[in-house]
Amino acid sequence: MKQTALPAAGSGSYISAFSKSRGLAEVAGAVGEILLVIFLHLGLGGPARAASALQDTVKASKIVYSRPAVIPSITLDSKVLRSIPSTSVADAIKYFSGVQIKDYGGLGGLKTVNVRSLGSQHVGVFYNGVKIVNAQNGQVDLGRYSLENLESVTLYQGQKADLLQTASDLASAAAVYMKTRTPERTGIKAGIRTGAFGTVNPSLYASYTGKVKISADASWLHTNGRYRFTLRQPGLDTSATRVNGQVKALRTELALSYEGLKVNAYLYNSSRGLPGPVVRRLSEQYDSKDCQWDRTAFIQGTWNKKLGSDLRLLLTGKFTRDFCRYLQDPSKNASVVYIDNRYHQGCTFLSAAASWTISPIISAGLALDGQSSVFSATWENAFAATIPWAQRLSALGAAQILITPFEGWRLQSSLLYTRQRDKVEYSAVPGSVRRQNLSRLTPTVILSWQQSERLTIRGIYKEIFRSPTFNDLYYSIGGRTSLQPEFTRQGDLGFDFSAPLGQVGFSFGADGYISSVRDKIVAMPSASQFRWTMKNYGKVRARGVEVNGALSARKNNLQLDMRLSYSYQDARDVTDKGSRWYKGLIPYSPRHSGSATSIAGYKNLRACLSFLYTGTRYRNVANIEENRLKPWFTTDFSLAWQKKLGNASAGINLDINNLFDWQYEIVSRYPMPGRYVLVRFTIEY
Amino acid sequence: MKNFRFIFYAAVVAFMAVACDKDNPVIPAPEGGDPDYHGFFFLNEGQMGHNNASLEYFNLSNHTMSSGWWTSRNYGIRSQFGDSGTDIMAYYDYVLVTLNGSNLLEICKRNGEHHKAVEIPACRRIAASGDFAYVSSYANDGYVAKVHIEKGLLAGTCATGHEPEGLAIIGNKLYALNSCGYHTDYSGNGNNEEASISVIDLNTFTEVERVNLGIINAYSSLTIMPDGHSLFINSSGDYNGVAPKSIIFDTATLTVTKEFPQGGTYSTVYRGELYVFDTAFSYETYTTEVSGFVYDIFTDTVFEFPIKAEALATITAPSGIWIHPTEGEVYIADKGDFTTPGQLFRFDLAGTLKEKYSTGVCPSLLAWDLR
Repeated sequence: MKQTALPAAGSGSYISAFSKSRGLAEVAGAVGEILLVIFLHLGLGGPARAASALQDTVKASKIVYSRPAVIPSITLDSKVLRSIPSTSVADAIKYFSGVQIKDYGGLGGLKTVNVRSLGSQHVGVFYNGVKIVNAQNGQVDLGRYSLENLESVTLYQGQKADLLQTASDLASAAAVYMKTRTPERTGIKAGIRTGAFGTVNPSLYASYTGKVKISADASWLHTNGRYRFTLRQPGLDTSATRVNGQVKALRTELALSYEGLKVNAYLYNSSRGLPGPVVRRLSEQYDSKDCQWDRTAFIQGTWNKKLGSDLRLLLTGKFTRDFCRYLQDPSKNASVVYIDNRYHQGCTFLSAAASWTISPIISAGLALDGQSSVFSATWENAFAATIPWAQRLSALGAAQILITPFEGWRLQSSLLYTRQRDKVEYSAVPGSVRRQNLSRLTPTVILSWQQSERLTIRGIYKEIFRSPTFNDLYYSIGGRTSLQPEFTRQGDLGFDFSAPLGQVGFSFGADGYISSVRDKIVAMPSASQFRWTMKNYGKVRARGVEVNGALSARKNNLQLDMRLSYSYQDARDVTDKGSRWYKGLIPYSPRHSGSATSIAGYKNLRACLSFLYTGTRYRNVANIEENRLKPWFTTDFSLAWQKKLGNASAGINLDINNLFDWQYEIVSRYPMPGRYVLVRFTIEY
Repeated sequence: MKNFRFIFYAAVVAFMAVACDKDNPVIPAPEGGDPDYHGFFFLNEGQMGHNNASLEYFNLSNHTMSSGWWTSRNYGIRSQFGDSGTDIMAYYDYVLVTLNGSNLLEICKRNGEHHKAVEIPACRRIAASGDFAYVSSYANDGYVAKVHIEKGLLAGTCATGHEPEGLAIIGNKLYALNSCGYHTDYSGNGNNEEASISVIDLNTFTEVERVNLGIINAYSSLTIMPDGHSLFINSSGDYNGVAPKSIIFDTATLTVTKEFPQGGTYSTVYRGELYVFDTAFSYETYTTEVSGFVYDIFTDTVFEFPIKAEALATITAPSGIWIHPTEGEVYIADKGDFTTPGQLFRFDLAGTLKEKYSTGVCPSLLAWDLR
């Protein structure tokens, strides 16, 4: 791995910007202030010392700026991914604009991503171009994917503007793409991370580059998940230790590439505790002792082939096996009822896609996906076991057309047809088969105009839905097969601008959007407390603005990269006009949020400083004081040092997360860790 | 005729109340003449895991609800009341509340001041007699805990059936309703465990008898009927093939003496008559049906519920009915969507809506404040 270097002078000026921002953070909450922090960071706010100092000292030898995009998208490349203090993909994605990571705290908690308040189940997550499917609950836990071997993480609003992709790529409202790195040389790398929460996290990576490129990667994580926290409430601060957050996880990956063929195998095996919410208790004896075991294995392959000069072919296949067990044991915690649920999922995915250039003006793409998900569960409670079995067969067909009538203009349109058949059977009752069919046609239109290399203006309109998950449909006992899909509609208008600015590469983009979600699937209790039911109840309307900027400068051994993002969103519940909470801001949707990251490198030293801000939000659509969650502002710092030792090299990474020990919650009553330090040693040959 | 009946039953109730008060004080009962009700304690269940159960006080002289009443009286001790309130009882100088998610019996004074808290896992409902409170709990396969109220100490436990809900004390016996709510087969296959009543001798605090009731999923309180020895019990059914119903169980003979084809999740006694109110949910139709009736146990007559269906339809998720003992005003709680603050509706006995009050999240229980 090549190390890049950043300037000491640059980082010095950062500290001043950073200490200023800390002062602002003390009075956090106001938008103006966060903007000021960002402006200081970017150097747009007039006499900002950071940027001017930079321009004085750095004479760029090579200008780096990203190409304007036809789709609002943000990419973090391997350099950024390896610089930011992070343990999983979730840590990287939080720097994207308009994104909220739902995080229950600690290294082991579930981490899901929600984009523009559409809901996490509307975000497709792709691993090397193939969608990760969880038919059970529709959520992908990003905490289970390591940044270690990733080349890039990209978020697309809407969909990727690519003619050659699977139909499933078009089937979500937003998409996150994780791309693993292709080995550049034959070698081996070993590392170990340790520090806070009793973390021990060794990893091993080996690569071979010949005609066939092969890499293997394994990492093991052990953490007790314990941390001190202070939950601030009016009149009383509760200080305690978070317990039952222990995790043991083993992840192994194998990648193989040969010309247009790429094969990945992935295995993840874990056991973890699930900490509960912090509520009034006299002692710890009835705190959560729930446990969960997960096992995921998949093998996937893509084959990309150019046939002649006009035709390209993409074949994709994936087989997945998932197992999940959830245990609530009254012998460990008398206050709970016995539950031992086991879920098995098997998924087969096949896709064929082609794109061809019909004429210089018109190109087209076609894709056909077939997918089968089989789901079975054993729910064991105090007296009986029910064994539901469900199968979902989906066929997706997509047709895309790209017209480039004039220089710089692109009109891309796609139609996605989804057909889905569900079959459910409760083994205890012979003949209790329920069926549900669904078919939908959903369009997307993308129009962009590239004025020059520097400026692109774009507009998108997209309709898409998410199917009810197996949990939505069948977990609320008796089945709710009449549930309709949750439907979204979004429109986006934006631009990307990039240019050399003096001696630094500079890019800047902004997007405004409106979106709506209807037939939102929500859980509501039925008459007695023993049962909940699912309903197509909610309706959400959202609008927002996102701003992203990046600066990059380089001279000899010095390098500096900065990124910032700001997001304004206004997502409101418009379900029921008669409700007292009509047009309330939807839960966990901050109006203002932003991030700033700067990475400075000098020779074999690299430092990264990042800020993350999330403004006031409510835990409930009733936007009253009691439901208000305070803004939070975290600062993370990392320092990396690498030393060549003959053919080998050794490195040390120091991550200080939440440098100023901010006490906050992302999910109400699930306190996040304060300051914590992780150190990582690596050696590679 | 109606008038005559009222006077007769009022007399019976008054007599019983006095009789009860002497040797075995039950729920605050009117003493002589016109009782002086100042208001009521009002419990909002809150949303599970959000620690937002709340105890409020409704002042009847000016009809105002003081929200955050308990919190305001205990500021700095504990800023929040707890998680998932399941029952409330005003008993002499104390107000008792079970907080299921906090696994606590909260004991506070009538002025709201916190007195003691006792840890009882999976606690559900409360009864009280003498110096002791009795609390049903789902833990350890079902039991009733005995708590010394003033000392705030656990004084003993007595095993019952599965998922004990409602409790009632008649004479020297404690009746616990084993609801078997978690032992109900909601997939409609009929593997339901029958609900039962545990009869517990208060002297020895042991279960002396357990009587099967022929119903399932008895998610219910035990409402003591005006005859003084019968209990009204609800069965929620399995939301599939087995429909909700309600029964009357006679503790004198330990037999079911009456069955109603409707459920009766919420019930209260007013002037010798039982007012029953139910929301029945069905997985077959996916609808919730609201129904109510009035029953006179002495003449075995069923009357129409005073509040008309149209008025009830304005209540999103009705939960709980209470009738002011003298003013005869009917209070019905509305849990709404179960996550945002609910409402409390006040009707007169003719069924006219008088006023609506905003409550905390999931308004669920009321205890009259008699002084």
